[in-house]
Amino acid sequence: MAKSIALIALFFFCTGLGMRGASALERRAQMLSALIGSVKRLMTRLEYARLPLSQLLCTEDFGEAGALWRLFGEELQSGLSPDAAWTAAMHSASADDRSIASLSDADRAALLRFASGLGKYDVRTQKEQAELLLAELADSAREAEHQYGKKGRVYRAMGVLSGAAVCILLV
Amino acid sequence: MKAKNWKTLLSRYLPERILSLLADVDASAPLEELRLRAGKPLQLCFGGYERLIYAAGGQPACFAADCAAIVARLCEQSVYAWEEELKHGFVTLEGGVRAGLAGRSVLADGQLHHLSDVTGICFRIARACEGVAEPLCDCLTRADGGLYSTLIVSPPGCGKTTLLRDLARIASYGYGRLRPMRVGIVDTRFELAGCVRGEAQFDIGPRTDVQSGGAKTDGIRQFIRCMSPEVLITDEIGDTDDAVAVAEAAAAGVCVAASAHAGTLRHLACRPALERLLSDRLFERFVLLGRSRGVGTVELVCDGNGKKLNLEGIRWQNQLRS
Repeated sequence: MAKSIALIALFFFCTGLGMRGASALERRAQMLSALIGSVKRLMTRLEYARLPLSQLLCTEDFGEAGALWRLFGEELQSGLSPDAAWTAAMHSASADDRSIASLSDADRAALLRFASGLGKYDVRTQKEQAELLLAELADSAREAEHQYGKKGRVYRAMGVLSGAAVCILLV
Repeated sequence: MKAKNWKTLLSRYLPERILSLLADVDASAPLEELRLRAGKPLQLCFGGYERLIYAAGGQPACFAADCAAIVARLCEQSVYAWEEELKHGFVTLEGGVRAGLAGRSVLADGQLHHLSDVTGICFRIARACEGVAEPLCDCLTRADGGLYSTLIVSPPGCGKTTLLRDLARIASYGYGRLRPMRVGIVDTRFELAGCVRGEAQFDIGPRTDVQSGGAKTDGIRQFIRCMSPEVLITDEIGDTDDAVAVAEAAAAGVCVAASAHAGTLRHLACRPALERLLSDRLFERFVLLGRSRGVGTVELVCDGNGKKLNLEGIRWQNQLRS
């Protein structure tokens, strides 16, 4: 009886690992898509509301990526420079939100470049910088979707198959 | 509106090192301007005297990096939010403080794009001086309780803006024979109402609307079209376009109170931009300010024909310094 339970647990553990790998790929694609939407919204509000950055970030709703932007706004309010504020916000958000933790180093570097320049230029330049970031994020989102489409199913199948294989071997 | 002293108003914008140099300056002293220049001492201008403050050993009190840090703080790390103001070289701050900036103008397509390498900052502390227009009220009020179209004339720094601001306030509240009216302030340089994010930093009355920034001509025309003011108040009629817009407002039946730079009324007539306004007698009252008994002394009030009005019984004094 105990052996059967252990085998079932082992099977679900391996399956879970596979699912987790696939979910991380899916979450990254979804977060990149959410970030693209939030950057577009930020630029619209920045152009029309002309509020100070920290106030804008703390009061506007930026959807799924809102927590990250709000943390960034709070760090700016505490007096940090934009790059330090972004680094701190990304660090806190990654600890709390697995979607943000799933972003790659390249995604993080692109976001940091953009955030470091936020508030330093006029609207036209800010929009040009946002377009650069959006192009990078769009490429990353496409790549993440592709990865998820290609590897997501493989990870899931491998989880189930490896679980089954381990169980068979132990039986 | 609770008045804060100048140190409280400026402390959030100044670096610690500069604040420490100002530590022994009395916060209740009537500071008018604090000027910071890269590589130079601090210059503090009070009513009638000034003081230079050096760092220890006669070293400069301010450096270019300080100026850059101050500009970042003035803009709350959001240059885009003050883009238009920065192009024109000033930022309006809470409490009606105005920071004028000097640096390098960067052009794009032949037009001023932005100000770079700021090396000079002048904090100008505005004070509302409520009540300065009240002694003039009788001279400027029509028999029906309306306001005569009035041009306030003086050399720079004699209190035109302060008087106009108080005129807006008393026209909005009503005072003596002057009935309460709808007032529109076209404040292109954010000096009259000193709006920060749409909120006036002075008491300008309950019936007053403010159009801040932009071109004066557009602001005046928009107000006449959309807000139907009874009194239109604007600062510094500087060029022909401004004069044409003011003439349009007067022709539309709106009472206009405005100001212009000139040492005397005769000098006013020499300014081509104002020629039409004067020849058409669009202004029914002229108020000449000077410094004969201190800043803001009313030297002369005359009607549209240039006839001096009797100022007897009105207590003219150094009101703007009080």
